[in-house]
Amino acid sequence: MESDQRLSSFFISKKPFYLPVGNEIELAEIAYSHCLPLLLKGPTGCGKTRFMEYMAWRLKRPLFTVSCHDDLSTSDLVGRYLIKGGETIWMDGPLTLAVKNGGICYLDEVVEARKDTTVVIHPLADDRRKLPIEKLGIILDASKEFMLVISYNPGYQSVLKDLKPSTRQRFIAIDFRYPDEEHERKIVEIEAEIDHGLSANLVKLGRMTRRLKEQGLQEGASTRLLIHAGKLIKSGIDVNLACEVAICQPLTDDEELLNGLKEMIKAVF
Amino acid sequence: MNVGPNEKRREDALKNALIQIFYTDTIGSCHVENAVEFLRPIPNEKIGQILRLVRLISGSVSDLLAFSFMENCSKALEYLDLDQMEEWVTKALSIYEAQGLHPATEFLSRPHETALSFGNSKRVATLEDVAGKLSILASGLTERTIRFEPSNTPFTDGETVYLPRTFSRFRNLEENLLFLKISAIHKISQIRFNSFLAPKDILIKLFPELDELKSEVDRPGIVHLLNILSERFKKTDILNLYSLIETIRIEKRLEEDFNGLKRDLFSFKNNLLKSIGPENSLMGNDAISQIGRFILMNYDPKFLPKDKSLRGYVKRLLKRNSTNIDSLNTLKFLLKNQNVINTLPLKGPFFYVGTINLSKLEIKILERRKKLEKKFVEILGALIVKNQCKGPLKKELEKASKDLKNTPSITDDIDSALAMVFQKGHCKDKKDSFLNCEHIILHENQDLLEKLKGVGREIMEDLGKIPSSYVSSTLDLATGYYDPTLLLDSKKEEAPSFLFFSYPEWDFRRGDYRENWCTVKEMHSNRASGNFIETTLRKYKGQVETLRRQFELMRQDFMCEKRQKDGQEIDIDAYVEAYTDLKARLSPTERLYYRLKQDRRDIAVLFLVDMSASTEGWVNQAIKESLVLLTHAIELVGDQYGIYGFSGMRRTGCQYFIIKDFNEGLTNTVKERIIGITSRDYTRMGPAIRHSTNKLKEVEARIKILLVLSDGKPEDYDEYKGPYAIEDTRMALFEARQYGVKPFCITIDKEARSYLPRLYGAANYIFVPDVRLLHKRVPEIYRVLTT
Ligand SMILES: Nc1ncnc2c1ncn2[C@@H]1O[C@H](COP(=O)(O)OP(=O)(O)O)[C@@H](O)[C@H]1O
Ligand SMILES: [Mg+2]
Repeated sequence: MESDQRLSSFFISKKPFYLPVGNEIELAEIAYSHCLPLLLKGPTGCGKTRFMEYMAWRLKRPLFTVSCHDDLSTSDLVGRYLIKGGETIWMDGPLTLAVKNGGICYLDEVVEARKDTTVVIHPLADDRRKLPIEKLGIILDASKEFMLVISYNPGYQSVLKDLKPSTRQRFIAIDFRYPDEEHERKIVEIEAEIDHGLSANLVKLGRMTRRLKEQGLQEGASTRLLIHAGKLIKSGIDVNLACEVAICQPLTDDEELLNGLKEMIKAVF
Repeated sequence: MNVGPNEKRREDALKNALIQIFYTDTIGSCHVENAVEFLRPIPNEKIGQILRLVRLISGSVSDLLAFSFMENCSKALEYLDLDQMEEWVTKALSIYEAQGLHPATEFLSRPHETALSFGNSKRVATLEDVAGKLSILASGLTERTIRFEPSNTPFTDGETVYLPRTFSRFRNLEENLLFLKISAIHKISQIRFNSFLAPKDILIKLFPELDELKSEVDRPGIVHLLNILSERFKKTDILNLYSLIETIRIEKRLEEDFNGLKRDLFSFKNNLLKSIGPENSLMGNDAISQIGRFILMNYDPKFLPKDKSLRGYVKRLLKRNSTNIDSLNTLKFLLKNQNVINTLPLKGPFFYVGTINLSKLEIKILERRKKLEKKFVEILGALIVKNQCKGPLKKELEKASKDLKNTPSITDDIDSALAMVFQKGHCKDKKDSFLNCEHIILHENQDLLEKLKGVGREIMEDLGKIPSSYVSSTLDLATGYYDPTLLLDSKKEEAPSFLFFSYPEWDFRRGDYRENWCTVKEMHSNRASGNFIETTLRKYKGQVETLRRQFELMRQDFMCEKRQKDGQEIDIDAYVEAYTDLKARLSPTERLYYRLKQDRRDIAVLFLVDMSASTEGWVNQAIKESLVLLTHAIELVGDQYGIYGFSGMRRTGCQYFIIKDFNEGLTNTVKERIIGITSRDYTRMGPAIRHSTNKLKEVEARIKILLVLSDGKPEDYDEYKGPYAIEDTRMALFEARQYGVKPFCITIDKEARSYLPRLYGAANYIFVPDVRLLHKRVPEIYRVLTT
């Protein structure tokens, strides 16, 4: 009963707002129907997480999201024993829950996790589709509904963190990038609940910031940052200030770049 | 010259005064005439003071210096008030005392630079003030890297924006800064909204009567047209007229898209209106005055040209979808109605619009055309090579190439050009194709395709079509292409003190290695002396300081190792887990501690420096400066590092220079070798990378990084170019990865080459377009890579 309740909280009951940008929904559905794991590549804040929420809703499967970090252990994924009232009880981790319940397990920013942690997904990713749980001494078979999804940001330039080819090669990849101008405008407008003109300007600014790679800005403003700025403006904060704190400052500490970015804000608004 | 009676009187008075000052035999009367000419622009209320300073200089030190002062004083007054002028002169005198006449004259001859530190520079806007910010804005507006350079009149060649180095015509700094900004934006908009590119066919249709236009088909359309028109209508300033008409179009577009710039334009026009005197009548009824007025009045509909047909043309320019063709149409209309054209009475306020430099534009447009063709061929080539894995496709391509050559027809658009190439064998996102692909389907093709389309669009802007030759030369490149017969080097260089190594090379056409193909000669790099190191460290003092802080922080990184068999503290997570395991009757882990330990970085980095001829000059200098700063910083962290250079000619003449071996310290010898880095021959990257990999194999470290500093593409004297060179380099990098070496490439080039992602992998390179930023970028990249 309790676990049912726990499980139901992983279903997404309300349709998340997701504006398709290309054929990503179609691709994901094909991957799902062929029991293939999915790799979402793309810069941060471009809609990967939102997309998975939407897919989970669409496929009517529970979604188990894990944000990866370098301290993540295998137990965090698979499960561990807990002590309750002097007794030990086994507690499934998100990966196990997903396998048992035919859900979607989404490992966000997977390169952040240590390699010895992520090895557990290998037998799940290939056609064995099995999850060994060492501590319980069992091997779970994933049902047809189970889907493994990982995401990573290829723009990440630290060579110390890269996906092993043997891991990569098991996946179907969908390339996410920032939506085109038209779509992005709509997304920002709806998400920040602002008017069309303001969202158009925010998107214009965002796109300008993405052209500064050669000036030393690795990543420009993401859709998420634009939405943040939109929300701030809507709550009554001055446009320039909102853009500065929500867009410029998060992007860089470099004085020269900041001045240039401010110049952009001044030009657009 | 026409001078009024007042002028005449003033001139005589000046002459008298000067003769009194310089009354000696050494100064002839023609010199005095010259001096009067120099002093003519000085306003009456200041002339007394200026003459006093002239007397001071000539009396205390030298007549020649006094002349030099007079020659420059009107310019200096733009920056200085009279008090500051006196200080400026005092400084010149002290330079004279210390260093003699020549340096003092030199000092006075550069008032735009030397006067600035004296003061009312408060009012003077300088290009340096704005260039940094504006170049970032310019990148945002145009998707290109745009440089700023000084010039008396504003103009652009399509890549660089030329602006006055200083500007001080308005009353205060803010207004002067705004001038520079608006003028810059005007130039940037000419690039963004395409003032200077249009396909020739369209222009010929527009001006069918100009037969010259049909000749010299390769000249850039608009440049050629404006040239011809300038010849025909000698009395009209065609270039300024076209700029003025375009101003309406581009400023209107800017105003629509950028609210902030709209406000700026508005206050700028206000400043302009305030500053133009009554003599600059805006009241004229000729067409130019009407257009000028409309612009200055910030497109207030009340000031639309009264002339009905002209108004029609102007209204067309205001439309969002207007193009430079509409401007040319307007120009044509104005030229037909000769009577509406006088001269341009409005040049003064329209200084910000600047000029058009046709010859510079032409050079850059033609350069760009070449670059775009190359880029197009490269990307298309890469796409083809990627899709070449299957044999039959190659045959298809060869056939397509032949067909293309036999049909003189022109490929009309990119899509059909692509269709010709990719009719067959291209893996589309169709349902069943998934099942055929056992591996991951990466959409890198998608990326390349988009880039290709972007380049294609740029080509179309200029030419109106993609010439079929672009496509067919790509096909040649990707299929049969270069004759692999080699000029075999007969004489082998032999010198006992050198070490020779031999390496294979990857031939992508055969899909196999050519064994023992290249010979690498390893030797110590030449040494040179000098104070380059000290100068560099001094030059970038601020940066050195920042680097010191950043790199010291890196050294002190502590790492918390969890789940250890022993350590300072109990790892709670591990303990809880072990405890529960115990309860669950599983054998618990013994790894219950965590250890705080100073992170042994255990990193080895090999810097591989491109010493090919193309790095000569600035690039070489910048590379050396970066190495100085970097070595300085790395010494603080204590990572192992080696520096090597490479160049050479032909497969048997690859050279590999030791600048700092891994086991050498940063000794004086090493420093002298850094100073001695010079540019040499070609860039055969494969062997150099393979040799570096071998060096790294011998170094003990957990993380091994190969950092390549180069200025562009792999290329040797022989067949080592194009896809062959790229594929071999790629393979060499791949081999490096197999041995656990992480390659990363810093590429210094004006423009990002489309093959870079293919060569290095999207995340494994960075591209530095401005060599002046290299010294900043290199240590930064090092830091990011290793933390
Ligand atoms: N296609 C889209 N449809 C709807 N919202 C989107 C879309 N793309 C981005 N967003 C918005 O951008 C925000 C950031 O996206 P998110 O999915 O968190 O990015 P990521 O997971 O890629 O870092 C989301 O919260 C959502 O508001
Ligand atoms: Mg996310």
